[in-house]
Amino acid sequence: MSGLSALVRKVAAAAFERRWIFAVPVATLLAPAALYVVRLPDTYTARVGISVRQVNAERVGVALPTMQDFRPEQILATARDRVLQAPNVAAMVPVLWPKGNPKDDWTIERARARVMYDQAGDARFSLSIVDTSPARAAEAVNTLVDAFIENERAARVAVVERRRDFLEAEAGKAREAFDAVLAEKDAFRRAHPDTMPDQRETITSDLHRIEQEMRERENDAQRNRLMVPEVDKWMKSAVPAAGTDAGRASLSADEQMAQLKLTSAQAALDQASRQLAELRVKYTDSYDRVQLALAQVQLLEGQVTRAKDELDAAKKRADADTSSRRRADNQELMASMRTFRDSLVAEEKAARAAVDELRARAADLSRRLGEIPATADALRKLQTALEGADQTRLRAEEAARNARVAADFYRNADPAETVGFAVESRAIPPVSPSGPSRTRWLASAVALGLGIGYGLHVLRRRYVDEDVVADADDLADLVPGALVVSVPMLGAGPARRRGAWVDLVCGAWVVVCIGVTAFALGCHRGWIETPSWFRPFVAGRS
Amino acid sequence: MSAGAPPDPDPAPEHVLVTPPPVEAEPVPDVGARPEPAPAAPSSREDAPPPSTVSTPYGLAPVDVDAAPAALLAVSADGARLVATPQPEARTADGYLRMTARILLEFQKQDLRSIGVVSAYEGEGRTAAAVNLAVCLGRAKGRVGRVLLVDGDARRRALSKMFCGPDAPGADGEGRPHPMLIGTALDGVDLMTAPVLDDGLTVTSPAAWIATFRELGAMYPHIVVDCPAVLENPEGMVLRECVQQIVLVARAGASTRTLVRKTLGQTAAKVLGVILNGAPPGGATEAWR
Repeated sequence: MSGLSALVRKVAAAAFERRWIFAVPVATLLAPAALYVVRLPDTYTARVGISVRQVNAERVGVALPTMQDFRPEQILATARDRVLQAPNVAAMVPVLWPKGNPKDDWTIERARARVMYDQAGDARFSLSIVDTSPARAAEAVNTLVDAFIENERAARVAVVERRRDFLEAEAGKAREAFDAVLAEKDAFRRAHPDTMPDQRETITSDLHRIEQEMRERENDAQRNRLMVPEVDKWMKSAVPAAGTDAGRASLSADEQMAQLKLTSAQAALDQASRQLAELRVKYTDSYDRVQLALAQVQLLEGQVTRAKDELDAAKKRADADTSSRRRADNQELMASMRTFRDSLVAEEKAARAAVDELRARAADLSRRLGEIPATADALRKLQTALEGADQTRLRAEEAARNARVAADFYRNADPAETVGFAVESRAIPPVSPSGPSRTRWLASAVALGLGIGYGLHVLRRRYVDEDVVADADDLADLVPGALVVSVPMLGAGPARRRGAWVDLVCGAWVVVCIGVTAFALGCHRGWIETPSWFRPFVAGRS
Repeated sequence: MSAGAPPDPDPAPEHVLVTPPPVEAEPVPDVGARPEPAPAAPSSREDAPPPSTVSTPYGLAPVDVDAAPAALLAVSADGARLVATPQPEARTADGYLRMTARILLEFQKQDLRSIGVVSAYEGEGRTAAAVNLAVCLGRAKGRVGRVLLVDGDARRRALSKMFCGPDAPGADGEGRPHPMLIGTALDGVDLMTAPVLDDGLTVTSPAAWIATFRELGAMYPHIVVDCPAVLENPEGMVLRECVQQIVLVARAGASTRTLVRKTLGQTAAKVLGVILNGAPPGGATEAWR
């Protein structure tokens, strides 16, 4: 005999010995459990599948409010609490209990307890309701889901509209601030029309031009002033020669005129050269004043060359002209010289008057040029403030525009796109019942009976059978040193078999309980025809 | 009590009348012969006495062991007869063989003579155990002398009735001697019938039992005493003290530790072995401590 079979036989023997301790509680609990479960009505489970979607910018565009940009697992973590909020649950109270009060907290709590929330995966969950009526279960759970979606959408629309109103108000404030800064800038421009920074180049150019013109005028006045003594000197020397026939010893009128032009041109050239030298000491040749001086020197050099050419030509003509007409010419020349001298004097006065006027204009331009930096600084500050206000205005208007788009989107779009929950499958009235789990009830009764039997077995061993000798080991410690052998009983000894009435009573009770259980389950399953007196006790299929 | 003492040279008490059994001479066992087969197959023995033909001068009823003279014996349902179990379970035979071996070893080491088979109450298989131990001892290879089976229960007289019938010697109070030594149909086993209640061997005279066992020990190297139930019969307590060694018989599922303690009393040290009847199958067959 192997150890395992010996153990099995030992266990079987022990179980048979204690059969009533286990069988009676099991049968006693099994019978009422069977009567109870066959009376339970069938229940139906209606289920709605909902998937979680992340409401992100890719789906709804820039209109998405940033606070709604949750991940699916974040949405799923709070989905149960959001579904079972009182307004949602209250919507299905009239379905479950037509006379129920949706505002009663206790009623809402009862309805909430009937909703089963099951999460399936990372982005899906289901809501189910168990009811004895399949149509009512489906309608209730659909009502709950509709209320949940609608309330979620309304809450989001309210949030978006509040955000839109706030951003529009902020955009209005930004526009007002921008207009105020712009008006201040315009007023400043009007208050400083001659000293704006953009006039710096014009004023500088005018100032240079005036200075150049004033210098030319001064040169003209200086040249005329220098030519007057020369003319006087020439006239004095020319008067005696005009009364005599000096022949070729004296200069002809053309020669004298050419000589005079040459002299004046040379004098102007010398003065211009000196000024050019002075400017070159201070400035480079690229400086505009130096350029002007160079141009003037070149011009005067040309005049000197032409004057020399005219003088040579006059000498040639004088050599050839030996007639008496020279005298008359001299007289005419003198008259011309006087006229020329008078014109020189007049031109000098006019040049000096022009110089004075130009100097006054240059002083005014210099003053305006000196005020430009302060004006530019103030204007720069105003411009900076204006740019800031403009950017603020643009941002606020952009945000307000987005908020308007978002509000329109949340008000008109599909709720599945805006609330983050999409109903994948709505509940339909189930055809087959989902409960009650009668097998579980019966198994629980059996398990409880076995547990009670084990407890009774333990108590009996603890308080009744503790002293009983069951095997050789129980005697070994009482008789140390003795050989203990265990043998089966030889023959049918005179000892009477005890507990026969216990077997009779317990066996009868177990048979009755098992019979009741089999009868109840058979009636419920339709295996046997249910008697009329038992029909009130059977619900469901029978 | 002096265990295993040689026969006392003093004369036996007057009230003890022991007569050697007038039975046929026991063949001398062949010491050192081939090993003895198990009692489970005792029919192979060649030196077994002719069954059911053993008769005593007292006209004793034969024992019903005709069919299997070498088998173990069990008490019949009415408690009046011994019935043979021609093919006992191997575990039962092993248990009795081991207990017999233990008894032989202890007797050889300590020069013991008497061994009492005790139990707490009736119905625990004590009488069957005593008979089977005597049978096993009687068939032991190398045994010297005969085995005496003593019916110590003056009230029930079970062994006397089994071997001698309802009209056992002394039961009717007629002039038959009592107790008597008679031969049995079992191999090498004699029986000492139970004393009568008014005899000297009563609870009031434990010294008489001691003297008797001392006297019988000179003739029988092995004396197996079927003691009365200790907790039912006061004489059981007396015999428990008078024997040199004890074999306790208990019944699994019925006996309790408390009853076993009460049964042994102060004699627990004398317990040579325990026979646990009705043990569940597959349980331990022996346990040494």
